Amino acid sequence: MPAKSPALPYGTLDLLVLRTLANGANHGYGILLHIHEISNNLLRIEEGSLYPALHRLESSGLLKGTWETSDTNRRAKYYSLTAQGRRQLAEEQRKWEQVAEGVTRVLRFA
Amino acid sequence: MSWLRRLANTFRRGRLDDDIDEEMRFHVRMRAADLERGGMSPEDAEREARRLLGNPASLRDRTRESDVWVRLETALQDVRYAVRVLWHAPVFTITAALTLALGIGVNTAMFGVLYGVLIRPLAYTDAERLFLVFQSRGGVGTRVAPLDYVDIQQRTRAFTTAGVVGTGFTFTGGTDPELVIGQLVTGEFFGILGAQPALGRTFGAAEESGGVHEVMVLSHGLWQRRFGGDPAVVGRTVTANGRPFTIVGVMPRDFGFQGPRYQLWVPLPLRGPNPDNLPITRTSRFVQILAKLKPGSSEQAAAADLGAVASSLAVDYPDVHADTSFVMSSLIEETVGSVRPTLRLLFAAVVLVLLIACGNVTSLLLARFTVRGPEVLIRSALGATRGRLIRQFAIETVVLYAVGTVAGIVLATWLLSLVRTLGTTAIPRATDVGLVAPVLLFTCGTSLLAALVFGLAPAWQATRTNSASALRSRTSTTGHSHQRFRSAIVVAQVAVALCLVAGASLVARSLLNLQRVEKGFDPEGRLTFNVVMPAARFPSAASMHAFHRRVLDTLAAQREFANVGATTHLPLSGQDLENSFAVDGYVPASPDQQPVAALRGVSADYTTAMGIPIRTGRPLADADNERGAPVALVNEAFARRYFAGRETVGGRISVGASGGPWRTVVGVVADVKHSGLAVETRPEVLIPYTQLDEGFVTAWGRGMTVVVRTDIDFAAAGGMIRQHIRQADPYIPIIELRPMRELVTNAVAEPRFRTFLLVSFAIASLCLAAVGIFGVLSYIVSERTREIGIRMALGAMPRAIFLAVLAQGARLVLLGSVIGIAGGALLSRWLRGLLFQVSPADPLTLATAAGILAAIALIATLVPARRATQVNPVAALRA
Repeated sequence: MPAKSPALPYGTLDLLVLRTLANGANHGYGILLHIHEISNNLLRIEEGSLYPALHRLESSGLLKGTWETSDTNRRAKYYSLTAQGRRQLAEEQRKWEQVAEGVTRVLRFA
Repeated sequence: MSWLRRLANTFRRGRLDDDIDEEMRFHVRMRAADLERGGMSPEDAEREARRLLGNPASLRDRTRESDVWVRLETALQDVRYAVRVLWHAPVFTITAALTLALGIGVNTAMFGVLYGVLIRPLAYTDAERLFLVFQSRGGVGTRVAPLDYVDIQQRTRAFTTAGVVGTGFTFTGGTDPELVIGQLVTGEFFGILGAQPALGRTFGAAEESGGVHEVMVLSHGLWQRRFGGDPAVVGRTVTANGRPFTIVGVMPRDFGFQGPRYQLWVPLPLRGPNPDNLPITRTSRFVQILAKLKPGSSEQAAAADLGAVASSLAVDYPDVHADTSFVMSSLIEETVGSVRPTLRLLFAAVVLVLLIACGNVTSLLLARFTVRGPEVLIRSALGATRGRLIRQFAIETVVLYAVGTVAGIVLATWLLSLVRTLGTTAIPRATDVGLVAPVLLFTCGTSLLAALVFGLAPAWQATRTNSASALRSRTSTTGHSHQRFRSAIVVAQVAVALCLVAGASLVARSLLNLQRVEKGFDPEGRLTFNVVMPAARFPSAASMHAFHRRVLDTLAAQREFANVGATTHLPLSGQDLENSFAVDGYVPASPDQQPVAALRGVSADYTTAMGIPIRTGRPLADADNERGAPVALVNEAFARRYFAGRETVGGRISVGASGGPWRTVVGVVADVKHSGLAVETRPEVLIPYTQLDEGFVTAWGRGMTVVVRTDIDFAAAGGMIRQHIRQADPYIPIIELRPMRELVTNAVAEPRFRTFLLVSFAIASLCLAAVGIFGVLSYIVSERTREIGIRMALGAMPRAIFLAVLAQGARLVLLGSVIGIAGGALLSRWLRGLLFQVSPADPLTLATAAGILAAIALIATLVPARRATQVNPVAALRA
């Protein structure tokens, strides 16, 4: 196991999930792997918090869950972005960039 | 709708859990497969995959409940936040809560009355199956003759019936004589009403038909008052109407039929001996029929039964029953039907008041939410969605409405206690209106609905600010849209207030017309009282005539009493009697147009004592007595209908349809308002009391109402009257000693109640609308401060600024008035039945209402307009 990765700031998980699903529908495990790979294992998502987050996003109408057959011929629940989820992603991404830019500036110039 | 799905999920928890489990299983399998590829044994891989996922039960629970939990927590946060925000704006909160309290308070009170009077079932078992049966004569329901009642009782199958006759009982023995009003009832009476005695027993059909009718059941009130609540009263013998009665039972406190006026029950002697000389015939109609549908039978079946009885009566007694029919009407309708239009009108009015109040609060909320624009921006920048912000504002509104509702309920408690004490002469069942559960439920429902409808609109408006530009500039398009929104509210308020003011003016004018209507008598300076001559003390007409004369002569001899007269039926007292007549020279076009007129037995001085004008001919004289020639007075309605075009004075009429013995009409009197000030006077005949025949006097002439005209204080006059009557006969009680003015006042009690409330509601709506106008114009002025500053700097005179603001207010009021007049014209048609001598579209009234509204509106615009002229251009431009 790699060294303990830093805890995600609160609310960031939603953003990551939404961004991942912008590439296309995926199941929970797939989302997990994708985030690990893309972030070079820097970001490690607790499996115990992923599923509650997925269900919360689904019931607030940002995601849509459908049961499909996976590549390995198993039934899996695939999540995809709804129109509302897409808007939310754009919004969250913009805010994140502002915050990140702000924080970086402060760190650099303060 | 995510909350719908969530709600559905709680009912489908099993399936949801299965879904989650399957999702977890899939996850574990995928992970294990990956780990195996990395070189683990299948068992280790499986174990490791499960370990990484964590406790499956807890994960499932968290997955299922995560969103519910989040939601509950934020709701609680929102409420706490809302309370804090309201607490820190006390002026706003108190103003808004008081406005709501007014609207909700009058609504709650009015619905309380509506529920308690119209909706709440009567306090009898299966009250919805209780009816009254009337004989129908020319569209008017009358009581039924005793022998006809026996036929109805025996020949109908769909319902059981009881006969009821109201009558007086004079208690003697012990202290002062006392007259108590009671009811003669047949044995089925108590069973039909489902009433059980509190003490002893009631009586049954056996006692009535067996002639053992000297038994008496007391009301709780009479038992307490006259018998001191003595539990040993059952079995005691009392003397009433000169006869002994055995008290067999006492009814519970809440039992009564047709009001607390009736305080005892005695069997109605339909078959046995008849000591009160009731005319048990087919022509004297004095029995009220109470009927109860049998379980499973319908109103149609009951009507068919009554129809069959009527047809067989028509065959058996063609002279009396040629065109008889019977109708039934539900007991609740008979009890409260007359006030339904009034209560509906008043309820509609308070709904309008509530709408105006909510309009003001919406306007206030919008202003407040707008002031909090920066807060909205910051919070949405921090990630709050618009839905979340709307919810926050909506919750603030709901909390505000909750405060207003609590205050409104306090106000309603007080208003209802007023109705219970002051409304009893105006509306039936007013004594027990109250804040019962259905009323509170209605109030809470209404408030919540209003909070959502009127709270969401400003929240929606206020959260429309989504661009950061709103942060920078204070005047923007949002300001204009808020202004338009609030102006629309004011226009609506003015329209609604105008409808209310117009309605109130129409009703008030009706009341004025009613009070000014020609009554046909003069109530001022007249004191009246009743005496009843019971059969046991006055067995013959001669003895009654003698007592009658003794009372009048004694009182007339007093210097203080200018005139003294007596009648068997006093105007506006609720007592009345109709009889058939024959008119010499009048031939009815058909049998059912046989002359019918009200009949009064009066003393010679009655018309003078009551101030009834004589139109032609002469009044009655002392010589018109049992030894004189038979004479009569008729009223103008009688002369018009039955002497149409012929000379009335000198004409001949006779009591009863048979024609003769004839009596000469010696005078025509003015039409007296006998049954109500708004009721058209029917034909009426006044006959000297001493000339009424034996049978009539002993059956119908036992009550005597004396009218005394005097200039002295009524309390002193009353004392004198009591003393002289006691001297004339110590066993005769005096009842209903009261000024004639009081009967007139009571006759307009319902219209006055209606007018008073409607005018109050109209005033409240005017004040609320004025506050609304004031608020929106102040807002507009503050929004335009900069613009006004520029204009002033460019040389505009304060006068022009003043007029501009005034014009802006006038535009809103004018628009609202036009809509209001159109709406009022539509709504006022509902008023027609409640109006008297004024048209629902009366232009003068509508114009007055609009004028009142305009005046109030003008006052409300003056302050903001003046404030606009005091804008300091320099300060306004720098700001």
